[in-house]
Amino acid sequence: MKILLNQSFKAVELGDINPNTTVLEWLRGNQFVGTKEGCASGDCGACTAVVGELSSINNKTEIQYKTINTCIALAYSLIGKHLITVEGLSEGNKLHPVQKAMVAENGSQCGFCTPGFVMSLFAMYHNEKTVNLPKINEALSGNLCRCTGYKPIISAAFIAFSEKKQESLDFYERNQAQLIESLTQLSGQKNISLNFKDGNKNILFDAPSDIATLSQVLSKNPTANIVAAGTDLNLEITQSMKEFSHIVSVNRVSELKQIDETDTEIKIGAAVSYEEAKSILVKYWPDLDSFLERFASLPIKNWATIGGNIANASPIGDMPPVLIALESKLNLRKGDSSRTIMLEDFFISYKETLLEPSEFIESILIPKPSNQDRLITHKISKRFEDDISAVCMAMNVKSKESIPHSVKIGFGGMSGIPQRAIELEKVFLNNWDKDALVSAAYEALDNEFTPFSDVRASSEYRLKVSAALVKKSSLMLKGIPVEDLAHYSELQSS
Amino acid sequence: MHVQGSANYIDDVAVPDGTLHVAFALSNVAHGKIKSIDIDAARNSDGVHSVIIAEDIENLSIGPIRHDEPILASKEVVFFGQAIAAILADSHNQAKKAALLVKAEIEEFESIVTIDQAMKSKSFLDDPIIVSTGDSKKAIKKAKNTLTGSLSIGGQEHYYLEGQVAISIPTEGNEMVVHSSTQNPTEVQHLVAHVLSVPQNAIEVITRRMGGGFGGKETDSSQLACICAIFSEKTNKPVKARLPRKDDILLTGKRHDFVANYEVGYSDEGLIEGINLELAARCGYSLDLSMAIVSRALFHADNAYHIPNATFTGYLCKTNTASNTAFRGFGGPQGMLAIENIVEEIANSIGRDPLEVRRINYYQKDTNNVTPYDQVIEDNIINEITNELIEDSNYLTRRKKVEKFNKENKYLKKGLAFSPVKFGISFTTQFLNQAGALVSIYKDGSIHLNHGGTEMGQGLFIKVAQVVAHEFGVDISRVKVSATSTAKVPNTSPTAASSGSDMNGMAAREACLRIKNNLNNFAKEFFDLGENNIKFQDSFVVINKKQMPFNEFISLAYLNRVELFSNGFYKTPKIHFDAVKQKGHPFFYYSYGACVSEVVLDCLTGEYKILAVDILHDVGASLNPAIDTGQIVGGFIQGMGWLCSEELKWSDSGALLTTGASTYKIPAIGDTPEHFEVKIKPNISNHENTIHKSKAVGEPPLMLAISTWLAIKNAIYNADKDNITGLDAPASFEQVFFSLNKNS
Repeated sequence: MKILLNQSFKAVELGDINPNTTVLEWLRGNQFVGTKEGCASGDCGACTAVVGELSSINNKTEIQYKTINTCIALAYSLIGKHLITVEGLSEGNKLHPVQKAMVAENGSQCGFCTPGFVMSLFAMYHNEKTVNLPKINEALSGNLCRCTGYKPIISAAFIAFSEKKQESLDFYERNQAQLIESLTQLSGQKNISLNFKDGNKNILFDAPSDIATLSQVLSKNPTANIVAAGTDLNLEITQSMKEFSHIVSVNRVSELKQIDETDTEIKIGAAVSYEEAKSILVKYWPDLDSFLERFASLPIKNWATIGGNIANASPIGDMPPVLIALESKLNLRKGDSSRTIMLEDFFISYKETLLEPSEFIESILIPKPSNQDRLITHKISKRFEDDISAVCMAMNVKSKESIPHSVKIGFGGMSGIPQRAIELEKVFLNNWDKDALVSAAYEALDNEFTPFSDVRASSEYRLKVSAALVKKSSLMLKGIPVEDLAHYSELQSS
Repeated sequence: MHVQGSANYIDDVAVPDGTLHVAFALSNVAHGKIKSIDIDAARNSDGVHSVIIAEDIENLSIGPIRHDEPILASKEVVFFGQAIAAILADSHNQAKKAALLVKAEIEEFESIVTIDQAMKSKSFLDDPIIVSTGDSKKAIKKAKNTLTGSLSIGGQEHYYLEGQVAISIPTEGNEMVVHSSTQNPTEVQHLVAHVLSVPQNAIEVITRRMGGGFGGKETDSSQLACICAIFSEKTNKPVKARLPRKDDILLTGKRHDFVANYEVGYSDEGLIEGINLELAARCGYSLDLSMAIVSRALFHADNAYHIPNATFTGYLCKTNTASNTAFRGFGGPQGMLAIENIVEEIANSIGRDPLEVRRINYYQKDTNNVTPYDQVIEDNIINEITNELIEDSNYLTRRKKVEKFNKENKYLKKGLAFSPVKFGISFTTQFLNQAGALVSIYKDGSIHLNHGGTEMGQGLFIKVAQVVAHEFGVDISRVKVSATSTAKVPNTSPTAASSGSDMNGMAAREACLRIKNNLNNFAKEFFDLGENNIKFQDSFVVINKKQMPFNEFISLAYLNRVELFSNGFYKTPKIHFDAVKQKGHPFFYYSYGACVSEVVLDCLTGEYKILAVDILHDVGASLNPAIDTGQIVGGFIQGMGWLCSEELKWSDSGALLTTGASTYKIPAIGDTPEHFEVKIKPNISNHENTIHKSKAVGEPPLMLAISTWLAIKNAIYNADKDNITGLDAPASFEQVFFSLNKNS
């Protein structure tokens, strides 16, 4: 089980390791201690590294570099990929341009978060030709710093790019051809099936490469844990000290990584990541661009899958409310048989779904919008970036001559499951242009939901702010300017 | 090194073979009697060597002032997350897994969680502290206007990126070396010696660097170091402990939350005539540093304002929560927020620009310059700083623009606010104001520096190295600063109270001066210089107008048996304080600063965004403007987090609910204001004789962020001019939403 590591063209053996081992544990256990553990839950970015994968764009093979939270990624999820850590940037004594910029701008104080920032900057340096503040904020959205106040790090990002043209190519740019060759050799392996013996315990790991093998493996092992990116599930390993006895990774299943479209709908494979799905989603629903920005940090969006976000049935996942409002369907598969259901019916109760043992989500089907449709999304959280919703609301409005005649509303954070607000939909259609909208919406929400009071918000705030969001949506439909403060900027005007 | 990942933190250092690892089992009850602890399952878990409970530890209790903190809970648990057992295992993960298997039977008692509950049941750690001047009661009665209110001020989790960590390594006999991520190696040394019943000279504590401290590693590092040492003593093996983030947040203290109740009398112009202010602090279950923290809150409840009649009363509430501790500002921010809130409300109540009300209440140079604790302010520059910043930031024009914006927008409202900072520098505990350093020059002219301060990212090592390089006229690359060690410089004070470079810089300078004196005496005799002294500049030694390279001169001195190393010592002059009367001169000097913030508020949802921040800050004659600017920017953002998005929440029964970065939101990169101007006040120097006339910079900038909170309050007021009171801290979106809708 091999990966490429940093500046070596020769693959490195991961070794006979417990499949529950995270990338971070593997790195630090092998003396790559530049990558730090800050939270072990994918929230702080001290563990950020970069993973390179082969991708083929316009028949040209290249390596795509993406940041990853190594603390919640399994080491085996990297098989056949290229892992770059902070130790792999400088060449001898020559610092990488992003490292040089961080030094020049005093972008480091205590230094503990610095390797993570450097890696996020490195990925951005590779992926972007030019840079601006929103891009920097997005690229570094998953990195917390407690010392610097970020200002010098933002300057460092600008400086690294302003000098990019004068810089000679870095190691990974210069040696792309050879790295592609090494990765191509590594990617030969198809289905992976491993058995790790720990004393008298057996811990199994499967990573099939096609859907038929996946359904076979799951049929034989109905209690196995399906893992896509594991950005949520793997917290059970790092936070609850759980050990999964059989992990089935769906990352390598080619059918689950596909995006297709017909005249009427878009079909997204369950293992497609948010970053991969972004372009088609934004093409049809431009408003989702800013919503997706707030969805999670970039290292999470790089790997987290839409299928995973649905299957884990979290009441505070942000995509299900949107997909419910869009009247999406799911293709489920078990063995050789398949079924299609409405997403809004998928969630039964807290963390419980229609999925039967051995059954898995194959794809998500989203009807394409007509030009009279408007998707409006709102997210309320304690911090604009990289935060979990207190309330997430998505409203898909169908109008004729600017008068709404049909609306579907999905909510997250208001109940034990992502849920459609049927009563509110009726109230909205009757009152959307009336002064009574807020109080009517509040009443409908209060009837329909009994939200929790928890760390993110009180029940009362959830209800009241939801009613306010309904009002805000109506103002948007009427064309009255209201702002999404998360993206509010006065830079241009001043 | 930082950018290459090659700077080693304690968790990165390869441990000796056979090192064992510790994890704590934590209480899931806030208050109760321990009836039994079942450790069998943990003991039988994979890789476990030993499980201990309180009864297994002889000297159980530690603490910085009072020894009132048991390393493991004994008989009673007093807060949710308290350690009740410690597990020793082959690996970190094995220890953590076993810790979850410890089962305690605890008879739950009613717990005191909030400040209100503690005040009602008179649950205190000590007597109230009162700082007073004049007759506030009479003055308020006589005043034309009065205002009363209550402000709840939230605490703050340190969230240093590197969690608490320690390694103990037994060496010979009863000796032990302890690596600890601590701001206070000496205290760790003394407490480890105490729990092991060995003399302090048997323990060496080493701290190379920390991944952030902010006060959270001033006293809270000891428990971990002690448990490692206890296990090392039992097993004679190296023992390491690293707290998982959740355990770290549960076990260690935070910034004190406060409730401020106030009554103020003032004139029609807003001139304050008298204030009664009660500041009640949630201290947690033990004393820790709470006495000094509450004192500092009271010493800063005047901020930059002359209050002729003031009674500031501080209560030390004892609660069933983790023991709150030092955090950048050390009570000062809470006291300052209380008075700034009052001044803002006075201005709103009389419809004047809060800036004007601030100005008329300011301390002046020769009059109105005595604090409620009787210190005469000799270095006041707040008026100058205010004038300069108001001009630089275009405050007055922007106030008009904000007014215009608010007229034109129904759902968005802007707020603009100015706030000053005057922060007292020195430990208020007098004996802590001492420092030592050790400087050695080797035969090749390279210089080795050790001092009692610790490096946590604030740039102290560079600043003190600069001082040494400056004294010898050499490049800083010639000076190496090695890990702080209790074996090199003894009895050091914590690196805290912003005092690091003030005190260690002076001590290092003193050491340099002694060596220079040796060298000068030698040169005078050797070169027959008469009354002429040698000079050190540009890596040369100037001897009678001839230059000799520094390294050649040093090697010559060595051959002539000159002592090339020396210690240095410094104690802060002028300070004195009478704790009974609460009067005296607790601070050597003050640091000043001011900030203007502008926010925009969404009145529909309570969300807001900080648009613009302008800062002017006083660091005297800066030792290192780049480092100082870094402290100002970083301190400001940390303060902004405290007052905006960082909200600690407990359940009614006292369980801390915000135990990780997914629920506790420190500022992220997108929270950086898009207009963010930071300026060090140019062309000034400390009027006191500090190191190169500089001023301390660690803590004061945090309080500049009060202006952002005031700007939010101002935006709420702009949305509804009847809404004068009612915003608490932190100003979470939810809190702002309810504050906005208070009158509807």
